[in-house]
Amino acid sequence: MKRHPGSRVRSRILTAVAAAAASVLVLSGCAVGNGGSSSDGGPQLSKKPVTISLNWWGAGARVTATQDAVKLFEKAHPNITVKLQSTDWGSYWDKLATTVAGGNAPDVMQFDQLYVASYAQRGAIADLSTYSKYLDTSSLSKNVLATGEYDGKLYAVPIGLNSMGVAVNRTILDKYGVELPDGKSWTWNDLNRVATEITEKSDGKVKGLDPFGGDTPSLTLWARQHGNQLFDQKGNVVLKPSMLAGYWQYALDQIKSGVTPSASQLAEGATGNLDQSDLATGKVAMTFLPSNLTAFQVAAPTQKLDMLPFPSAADAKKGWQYLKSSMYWTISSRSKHPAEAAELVDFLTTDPQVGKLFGAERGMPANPKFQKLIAPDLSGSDKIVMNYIKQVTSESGTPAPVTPVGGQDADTLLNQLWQNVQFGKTTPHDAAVQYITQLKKEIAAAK
Amino acid sequence: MLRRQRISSIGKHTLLIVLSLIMLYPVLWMVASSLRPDGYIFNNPSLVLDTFAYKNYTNGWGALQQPFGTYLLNSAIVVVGAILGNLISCSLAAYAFARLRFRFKRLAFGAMLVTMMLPIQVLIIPQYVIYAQLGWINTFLPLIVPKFLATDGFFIFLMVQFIRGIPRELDEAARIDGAGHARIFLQMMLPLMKPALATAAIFTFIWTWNDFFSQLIFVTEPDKYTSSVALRQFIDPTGQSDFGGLFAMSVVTLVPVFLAFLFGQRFLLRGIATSGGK
Repeated sequence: MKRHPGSRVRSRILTAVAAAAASVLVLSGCAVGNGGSSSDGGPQLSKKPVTISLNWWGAGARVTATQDAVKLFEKAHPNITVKLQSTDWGSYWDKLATTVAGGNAPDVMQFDQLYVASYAQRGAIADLSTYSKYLDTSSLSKNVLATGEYDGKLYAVPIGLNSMGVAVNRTILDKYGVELPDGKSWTWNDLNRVATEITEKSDGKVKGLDPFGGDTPSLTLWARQHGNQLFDQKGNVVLKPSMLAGYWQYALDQIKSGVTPSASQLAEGATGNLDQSDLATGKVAMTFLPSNLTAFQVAAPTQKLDMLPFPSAADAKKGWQYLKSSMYWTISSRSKHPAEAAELVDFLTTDPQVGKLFGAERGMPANPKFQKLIAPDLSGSDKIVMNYIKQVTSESGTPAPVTPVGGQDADTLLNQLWQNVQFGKTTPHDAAVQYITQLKKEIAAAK
Repeated sequence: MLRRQRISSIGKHTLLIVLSLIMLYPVLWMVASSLRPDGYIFNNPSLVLDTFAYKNYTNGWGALQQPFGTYLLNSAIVVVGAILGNLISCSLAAYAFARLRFRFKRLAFGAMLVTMMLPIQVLIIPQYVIYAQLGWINTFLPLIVPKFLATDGFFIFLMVQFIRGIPRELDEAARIDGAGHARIFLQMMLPLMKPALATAAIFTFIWTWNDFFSQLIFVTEPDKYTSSVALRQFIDPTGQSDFGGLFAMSVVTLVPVFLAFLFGQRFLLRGIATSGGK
């Protein structure tokens, strides 16, 4: 799960975006998105040489994969040059906020669901239906496309999918002879049973699991199982305090019963690289994760890791599962070459060569054709994740809406209050009321 | 008596050495970690090396899109430009504030002090808009040109204080001998201001070398990144960051700052002692 240390600075900059963007409109004589327009209204491809920019975050293997994909695109479109700009996750949003405010946003941007609503509301990213002539999204299913929608319009094309589940260290389970329930689902009681067995059979040397409690994806799933959700489609907080209190109480009971590391151990282990995580070092046998199992597998090469679905309540209604997009492509609403930008996004999301190049590095591909394409080459953890995503796809209901404007601190705040609950500074119920009040206030302030 | 003095001096030094070791520990740990294989970095708080993984240096140097030398060179270009700009412009502005009489001088001086208190978040967007209109984005110009316009209030203030410490009689003597402002500034003030100029140069060096945010914002293409921005490229969002390479290149990036401080320390003390302490 990502943490957002710079989010305060970022939100301050983001607030300035609106004001500054307005002033730039005046300065630049309102040249918004009229580049390449023609009489029939839609944007047109230019025949002259055109340069567009592509912004993304990441490191390691993603660098070469992106460069190679762009080279293929340039080969297929000889008059388009693509300039690549990349930074790490933290710097990416600081920089994007400034460049958008400065009226100089990159044409194509890699995006996270956390920011789709705020940039869409401010008109910084384009409604992609305008470019449907160049950008074909028909290969994506309705539920997948819905993860990139805000206010009923498609602003972001999903690249990869993930869904929260439970990573299990089979090596440890086999060592202590602990059995997992068979089948494609398990309940919260099953999870407790397995966790307790592991802790008891290993004499406490290995704890059962790292509990949830500080991340909105697991909270959202928990709430959906009980017919509630965190945000509704209009971006209002609709979570009931009793729901959040129950979610925390479940995890708190696990901590108190000793099947997880202690509260202080959890707090200490919260930072650092994956190879230092409790799962990778063998301190716990299970952990909740957003299906990035491969990253853990790389961090713990000697352990045999597996993935189980998110446990469910016995009375949970079908369709509580949902797919999340790991990331998206968006197009700047102020792009001077929107048609070319749309062509690039189309190429990156539908060209089979790109599918091969990207593999599962940006998340399990959202495009089913890409999934089929890379399936034969997948092995180990990637294969497990693909099967899991397929299972969730078949079970999933309407996806949770993107984080509403002003809701960017939802995770940070949840985590802070969860710490207070863990250390007994407040009760789950009081903290839940506080969380909902605070979140509502922040969202109201951003409106 | 003498013995007691010696004992107290030993005690004082021990205390200082212990404190400086505590302060130095993170840096030393970084140096030690840069020589450890990747998986052993975070579970090892000690400074003693049982392995010697110099490979972090060779790997880290080539791990990003460009060899790391490119980023160091970019940083060097920005730093040299910034130092030249600050020395020329701030000394001129300081001379004006300290010696000339002009309208709205107090107001201008006050405004200059206020600029020192503005946080970068307030300045960055207007600056970005201006530089974007000028077409300077993705060049080093936004990082260098403003320095030639005396925008670093701190250095102006430092030099004003320094010049105020120089007796006015010297100026007057020169004036009687027929020297104009240009001559007084170039031939008298500048040589006398050496300690202040050295301080400004060293601070500009360290601050610009370590600066991250403005370099991140104004430079967009990876081959123009400075070393501080490039270091962040080692951080991988999927949690598989190359920390060995990151630490190794951090050490490499620290060397110039360390050298600048080592050789500049003498001037730094003199420059501050003769201006700030008044």
